[in-house]
Amino acid sequence: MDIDLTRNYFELFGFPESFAMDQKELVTRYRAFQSILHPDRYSGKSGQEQRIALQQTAFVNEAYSVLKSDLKRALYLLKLQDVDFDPDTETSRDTGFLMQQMELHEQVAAVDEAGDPAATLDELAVEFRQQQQGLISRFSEEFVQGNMEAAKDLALKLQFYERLTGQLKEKQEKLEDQLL
Amino acid sequence: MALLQISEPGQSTSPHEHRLAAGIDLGTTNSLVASVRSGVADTLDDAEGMDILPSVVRYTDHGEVMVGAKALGYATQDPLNTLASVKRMMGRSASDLATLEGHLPYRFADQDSGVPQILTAAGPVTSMEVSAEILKTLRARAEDCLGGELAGAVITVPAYFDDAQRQATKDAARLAGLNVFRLLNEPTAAAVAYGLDHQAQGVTVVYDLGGGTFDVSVLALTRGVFEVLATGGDTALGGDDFDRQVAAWVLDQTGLDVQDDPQLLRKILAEARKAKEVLSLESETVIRLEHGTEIREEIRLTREGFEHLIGPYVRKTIAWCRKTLREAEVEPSKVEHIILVGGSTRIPHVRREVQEFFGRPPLSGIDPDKVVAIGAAQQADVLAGNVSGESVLLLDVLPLSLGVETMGNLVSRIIERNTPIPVSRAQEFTTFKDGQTAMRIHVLQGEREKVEDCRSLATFDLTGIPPMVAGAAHIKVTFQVDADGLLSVRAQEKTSGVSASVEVKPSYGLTDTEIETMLRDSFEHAEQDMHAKNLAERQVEARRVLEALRAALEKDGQALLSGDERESIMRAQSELEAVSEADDPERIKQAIGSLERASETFVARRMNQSVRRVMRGHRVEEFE
Repeated sequence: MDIDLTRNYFELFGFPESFAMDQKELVTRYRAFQSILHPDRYSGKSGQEQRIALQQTAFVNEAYSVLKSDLKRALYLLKLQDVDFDPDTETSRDTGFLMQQMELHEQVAAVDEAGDPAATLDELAVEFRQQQQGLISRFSEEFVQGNMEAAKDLALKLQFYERLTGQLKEKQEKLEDQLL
Repeated sequence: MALLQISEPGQSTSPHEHRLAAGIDLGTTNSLVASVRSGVADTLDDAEGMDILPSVVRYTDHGEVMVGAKALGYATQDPLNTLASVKRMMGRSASDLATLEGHLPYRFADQDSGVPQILTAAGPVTSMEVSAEILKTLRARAEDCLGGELAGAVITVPAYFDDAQRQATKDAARLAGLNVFRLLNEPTAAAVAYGLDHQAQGVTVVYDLGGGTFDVSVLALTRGVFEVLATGGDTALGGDDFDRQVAAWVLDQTGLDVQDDPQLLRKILAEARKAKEVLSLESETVIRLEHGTEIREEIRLTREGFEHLIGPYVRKTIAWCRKTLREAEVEPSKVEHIILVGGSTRIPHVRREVQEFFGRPPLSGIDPDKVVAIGAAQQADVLAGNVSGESVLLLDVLPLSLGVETMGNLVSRIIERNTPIPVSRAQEFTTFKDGQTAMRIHVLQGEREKVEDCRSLATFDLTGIPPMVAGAAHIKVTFQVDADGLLSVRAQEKTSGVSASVEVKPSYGLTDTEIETMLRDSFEHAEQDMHAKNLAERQVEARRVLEALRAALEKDGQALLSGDERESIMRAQSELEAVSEADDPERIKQAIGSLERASETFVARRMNQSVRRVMRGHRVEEFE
């Protein structure tokens, strides 16, 4: 288990390249890395060792943040499989889902006019979480079976929900700020 | 917890010598220095037996600099040269001052940009220089008390401090001649002081209500790792608001007019403050306003009355707690420890409201004014290498998102806030004109979409891009944030492999050259002293590098290096040995650089070896 900055994140952490992730084990290994590599462990050492420790910890942190998140891990796996696409600009081609997207956007926009915006936001958040869970397990299945196009489509849908959840959070924050 | 006992390679190579270390709480109103002596962390007193140093500096026209209580005594008499609360100006630009000026009654140099300069009787000074005076005083106090030179210090900063503010704090330390082991977030320091780093796990909330600011932070501890999950707060809410509320009530009750009588207002504010303090202990107090020898007014204020007056402010702090917990995705009932920081948390009403919201009493036992400095001292002791065996790791997160300016005046986020640091992330940029050889990148920090709503940190000019058609050049810009939360940037053109040079222009901070100049100015016999100091520092560094390498080679040189590799390291080694006795700091620096380059692979292999040693053969259970 070397800190080779060119290795992929799964290799770095000693995991197989699969979507399923033992989060507990991930955290354990992450902490093991940190406890050895963190720059604070080198405060009495040479500037060179401190610099290397900084680079390596930064790399481990970045790898950890990708492996930890379902969406980021999914996108990263697709990239490793050379399924090339830009998740920032591309969207799902599923026309049914496109219609659904518009409806969901409208629902989120309508929250401001709801009788109890805070409660409506909470309800939507629960619903989105359920949808995301469904997409995650379907992604896992398709990916295992090697259906990369289907997996990619699911990842894009998952990304859509992630963004929408982000909007919910922003609205929630605004509501709370009004109380401050 | 087998894992954290691993001493390789983080421990010092030389057998234990005790290194002097201090923790510094560089506060807006007051500052403190603390250190661990005979295993106990406590604040250090000055010659008069006072531990609190008011964060006030006065500059006189004979060039004298007064710091602390002595300076504070001149606040009313010489307000323009007696500088207080400069922490609020740290990392702020001249144009930011417009928003702060109401609170900062000083004269400023006429400037549109750059580091704001305060005009004093002794000439213009920056907030970094003022803070450096406070740090110098604390450093001298620590060295007096501890009987030797400090190897380094941990300085605390608010968790929400952005890159510019952290950089400014580090620059101030550099000006004060302090080696900074680490900038530590204030709430983390408070949690360390309570020994929560020795607990198995749990969520801790640090509620910090000072004179002028309020912060709340949510920390999670899991098996020796401390993480800041979220932080929030109001930089204009604190105990001073309570005083103003009481004063306003007094005016209302008495019908006194202070419009043309600032002296009377000050008097009433002082009495209000006194009443506030008394009401933390008693159920009622009498506010007396005297005029000469005669008593002008006498008003009774009960604790309930006081609580009614400050109620809205306290509720606001609770609203912040709720918001910050949600951001951390933690339920109030899941919070295991609540730590109170700041003098205003002595107020029973504040304690009660906090207890009610979290459903459990806050920890007590450490003076809320000292708790941050004490935690910083403990961490300084760890980083100095004085604590053997198991030590905790304090992991921090980026307090505010980092991004770059894109088309349409928008900010594109590169690293999201609350990402664990250190972290590095690369982003690709391309040219938009044929033959374009330079590019300007504007780095911002903040959560808003528009450039003008975020804090401008720096502009980087990438030059030397090989001329190509528009969109063909791929410039990979890597943003790296270190453990102190400070940003650095490097760039490379991918197709040609040319490293584009990056010129950093900090939007608010001092450049290295400016710091050098200030340091030089502070020496009386500038040139000679600088040279002697530089030479001594380089020689010490060279000795340290050589010593560490010798030890490493002895241990792993055979196993980890080929003959050729060993030879090239040894060549650089003898080169440095030869140069290090000469009278040329610049040559020593270069030789250290060459040796470091030659041994880079070796050092990295050694680190990998220790990683492998820890990871190999361990199963999950063993790490727990």
